[in-house]
Amino acid sequence: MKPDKANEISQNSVDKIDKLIHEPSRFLIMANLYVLKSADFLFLINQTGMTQGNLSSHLSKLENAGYIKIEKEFVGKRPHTILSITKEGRASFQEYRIKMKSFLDSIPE
Amino acid sequence: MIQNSDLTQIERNAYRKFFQDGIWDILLGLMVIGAGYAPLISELGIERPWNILIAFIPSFAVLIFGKKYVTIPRLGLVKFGPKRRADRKKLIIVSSVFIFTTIILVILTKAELLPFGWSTTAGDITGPVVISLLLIGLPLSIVAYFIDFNRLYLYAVVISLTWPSTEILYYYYSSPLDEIIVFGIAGGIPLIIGLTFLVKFMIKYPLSTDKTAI
Repeated sequence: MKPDKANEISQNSVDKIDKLIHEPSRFLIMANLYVLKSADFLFLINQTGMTQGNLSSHLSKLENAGYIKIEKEFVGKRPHTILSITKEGRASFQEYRIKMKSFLDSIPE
Repeated sequence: MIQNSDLTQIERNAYRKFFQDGIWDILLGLMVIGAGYAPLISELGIERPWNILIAFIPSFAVLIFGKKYVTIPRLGLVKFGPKRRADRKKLIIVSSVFIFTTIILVILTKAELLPFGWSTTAGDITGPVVISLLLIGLPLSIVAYFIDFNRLYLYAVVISLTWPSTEILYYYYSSPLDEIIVFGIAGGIPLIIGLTFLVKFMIKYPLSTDKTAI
């Protein structure tokens, strides 16, 4: 394959990748919520190793994009923030996986 | 970018965190120890099955209060996906089959239709070994498979050996001392392992001082 053609293909593929999910921390959040039905804030901190502020920031971005749902409830007297992936988020994450695989497969050896 | 196997690993990693607290090990250890000293409770005038239920109270207390006050405040809350729920349903079905099998075995024993006995004679512990493996070892191993709790395989072997061991020890120590010794050792193994896991868990996941979430 000619180098210019390869660059064109890879550039086109990269442009189509969801950059919101592509960010490593948000990717980790989405991957966890993709495989779990729901998790609370504390659980995600333990799973991802992020600080509270960092995780909050990323969760807000994902919520604004409609990828996750954030619900606040009380369990006993303790507040809990329950997070789950939305249908749109699940579809976007699946699409991201397919596009990334396609992009990586298109890179010549 | 992320393979199905990686996603499976993420899910498994999340699931196995809930066994890192050692509370299930402690529960099992206390139950086995409780089964050993249950005869002592019956000497206080409390007959079966109440003596066994009373002996099991500490183990269930550890489970309920341990999860509520130790695990969840440190680890958080999570609900797993359809695969785990499906495994749980399969476990219920398999457990029901084993309970049914146990009932059949008891009936066959009462009718003296089994080719071996429940007690030893002349040092032959074939009956207790076979029945222990069928009624204790195999069910526990299957539970271990379905709930993905690998330490339970070890405990299945240890607990399966309790009954044959009491049969042997009975010739040296009278009841209930033989049961107390055997069940004490068998229960002590998961108990010590569980306590070790619990201490490590509490160090690894300290309590959050922040009372709010976001």
